[in-house]
Amino acid sequence: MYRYDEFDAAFVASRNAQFANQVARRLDGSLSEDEFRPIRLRNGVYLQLHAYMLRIAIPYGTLSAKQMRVLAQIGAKFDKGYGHFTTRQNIQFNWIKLIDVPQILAELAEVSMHCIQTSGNCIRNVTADHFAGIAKDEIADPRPIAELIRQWSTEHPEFLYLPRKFKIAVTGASADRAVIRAHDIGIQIIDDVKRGIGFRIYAGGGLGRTPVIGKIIKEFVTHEKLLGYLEAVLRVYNSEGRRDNKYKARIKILVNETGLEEFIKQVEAEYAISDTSSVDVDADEIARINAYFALPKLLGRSETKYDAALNDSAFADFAKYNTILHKIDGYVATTISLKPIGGIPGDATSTQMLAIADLADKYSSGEIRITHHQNIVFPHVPKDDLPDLWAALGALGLATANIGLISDIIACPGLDYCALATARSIPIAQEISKRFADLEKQAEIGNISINISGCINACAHHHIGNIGILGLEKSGRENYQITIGGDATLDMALGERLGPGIDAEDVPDTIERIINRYLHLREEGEEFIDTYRRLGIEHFRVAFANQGQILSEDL
Amino acid sequence: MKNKIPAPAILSAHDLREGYVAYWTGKIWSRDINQAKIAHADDEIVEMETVAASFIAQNIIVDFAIIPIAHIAYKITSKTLRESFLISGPTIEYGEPSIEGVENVSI
Amino acid sequence: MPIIDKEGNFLAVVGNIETISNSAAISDVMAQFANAEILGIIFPVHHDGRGYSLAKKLRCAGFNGKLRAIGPLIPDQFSDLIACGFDEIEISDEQSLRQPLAQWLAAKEISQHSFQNNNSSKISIFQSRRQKIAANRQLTSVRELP
Repeated sequence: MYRYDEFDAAFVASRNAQFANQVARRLDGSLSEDEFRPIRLRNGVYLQLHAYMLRIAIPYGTLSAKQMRVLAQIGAKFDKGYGHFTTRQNIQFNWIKLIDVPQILAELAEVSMHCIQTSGNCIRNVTADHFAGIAKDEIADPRPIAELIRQWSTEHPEFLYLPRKFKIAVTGASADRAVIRAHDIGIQIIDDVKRGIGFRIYAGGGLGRTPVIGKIIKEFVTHEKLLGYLEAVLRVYNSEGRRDNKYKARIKILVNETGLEEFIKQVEAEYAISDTSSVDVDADEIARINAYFALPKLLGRSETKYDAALNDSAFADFAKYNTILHKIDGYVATTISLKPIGGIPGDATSTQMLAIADLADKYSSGEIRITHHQNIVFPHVPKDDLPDLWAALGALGLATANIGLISDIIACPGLDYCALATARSIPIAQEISKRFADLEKQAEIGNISINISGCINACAHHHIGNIGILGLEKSGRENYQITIGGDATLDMALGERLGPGIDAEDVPDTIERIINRYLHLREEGEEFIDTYRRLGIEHFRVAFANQGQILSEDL
Repeated sequence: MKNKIPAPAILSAHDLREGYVAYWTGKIWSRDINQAKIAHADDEIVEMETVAASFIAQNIIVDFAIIPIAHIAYKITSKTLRESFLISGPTIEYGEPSIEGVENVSI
Repeated sequence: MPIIDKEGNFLAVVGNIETISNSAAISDVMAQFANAEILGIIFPVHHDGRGYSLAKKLRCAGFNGKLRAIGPLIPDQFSDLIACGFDEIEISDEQSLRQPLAQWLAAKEISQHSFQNNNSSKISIFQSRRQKIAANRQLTSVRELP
């Protein structure tokens, strides 16, 4: 994984000194709150409902065991002993004091971490496929590209006061596990027969108040020219993006209001006259960055222990749902579920984080990934070590075998924490999780995604969940709208609303009725999304309308 | 034009340096909501806004809210949904699990 | 209204200068002001970032006069404004009291390292790396001479 060179280290050190100075000038009044707010946000410091929250950048979700240990220590020393892994592959701590932030940044800098641009109207953490470098369907590793973009976008002097936040995601496989079409810019690595490796650029995707699926603005850009092209896009957005209305300020609105063809023309015109010499990268820089992402040495291992352990059905379930085959024979990528039944999605205690770090050293070549599903991945586990790893995870409450199943719910922090929220999301996730606790039932239901957002900003991506739940406020009470049919892959689709909003107490029953309807209607081999696509929403509306009735099998 | 907050109401804000929620008692900022001063009339609410502005200017607090309240079973309760969670704190059990025999302390 | 230049000097205010809005079109600006000695770009609020791109575009279009950023800017923006092509900043009297020259100079110095270049006098980290690799190559090739 990427390691800071002397330039990166000096950069972070100087930025930390800068922020410490800015905090001091806020406290003595040299900077007003209005002046300080964009700065504080650009350093990951939010003011939430109960306290300051600090969001730490985990570039494209890649973490070392050493870094995870420091995160655990920060949670214990400066917070209440836990952290939350987010839908953009970062981590956030909910109970931070502003006056502690300079010290926290200093401790993070020692392990090459920072909080730069994890919030604010600037370019945010570049996210990528959590199986990068491992997956069998990979065309090229997206992480070096994400790293290049990260460096270019960090404290870019021209783009620190954008109309609104800007999110970029990169995928390098035939399946898109980075949700690129729901990002402001989505980058797909392609291998062109004539031109070799290059990038297809999507733009104008985003969820929130006005969900839009990203569209192609450039079919092929070379590695060398990528940053120059991105600069042109950002320059057009910075100049022309709306600043009159916070809810109409993302690039998706600009692309829509300008028209796709005209927008592309403007970007091309901007690119043609720009001087990109300082951001065009040469073969040396590409090679230098690529070298960091070589696979660790993974020696051949036997699989006898693994094969024998499959006789234990609980282990067999874990292997089935929580692992995928690695590029290298004899290895698997293992997902550690942060969705224990009835638990808080994405949360881990400092104790768990420390243990995860030790297990990563022992079983995953010291490497960890954070997924946008709010889970953790050990990328390089020898199959023969999986039984021991599973046992160790079990002792920590981290062995729930539910990845991709109905209890693997994505939920934002919601009104329990977030100042922007209109309703709670975590208790809803907990109740649904408990309702479907039985693993056999979950296996019967198969792959399905439930995404729960506590407000219209859609941080849990409810629009693209197979089942989406949006928490709003109606007459002083929490009120939940259910959508179905969302799809987060390259075949991206937005969910359709099933009916009027319902009370919190009715959500688990309603979800159960929807699921029963699907089980009743599905054909051989269909997953939830397939049945919905085949039949349409009307068949499911029936289930929704039958409040309080037990649905007969004959229907 | 901001909506006029109806009385009775209390004043809350975040401590600038540490971020915790505190309530204006009339004399100091206290984390105990039962110490909160209750404004019973419009002019008292306007005075709360002035108090908040003064403490903001002194870089002591940030982001204030005037919360309309009701008394339910002698407890101060927010009439607005969002502020009811501001007052209660998270409604879920978070953080490290409690050590046996020791109560989890919330802020 | 105090004016600070990129070398860290307070400048004397000498009359009014031509100013343009931060949403001005480049073609219009170059048509009118291509040879202007100095041009001011208005920042209506400090967090409206259009002026940065406008300055950058003007430099790309060949504008060689001085550029002055005018508005309620803060010291922490100084370095970035220079990086985008500005030579001077004009702030309000109130601000210069609350944020005196020393803070502007300190802010400019504290952000020495940057991944980008963009007209500033310091080179980007990408360019530093290239230089270092080139220097190493030179060293190696010198050693390899018979």
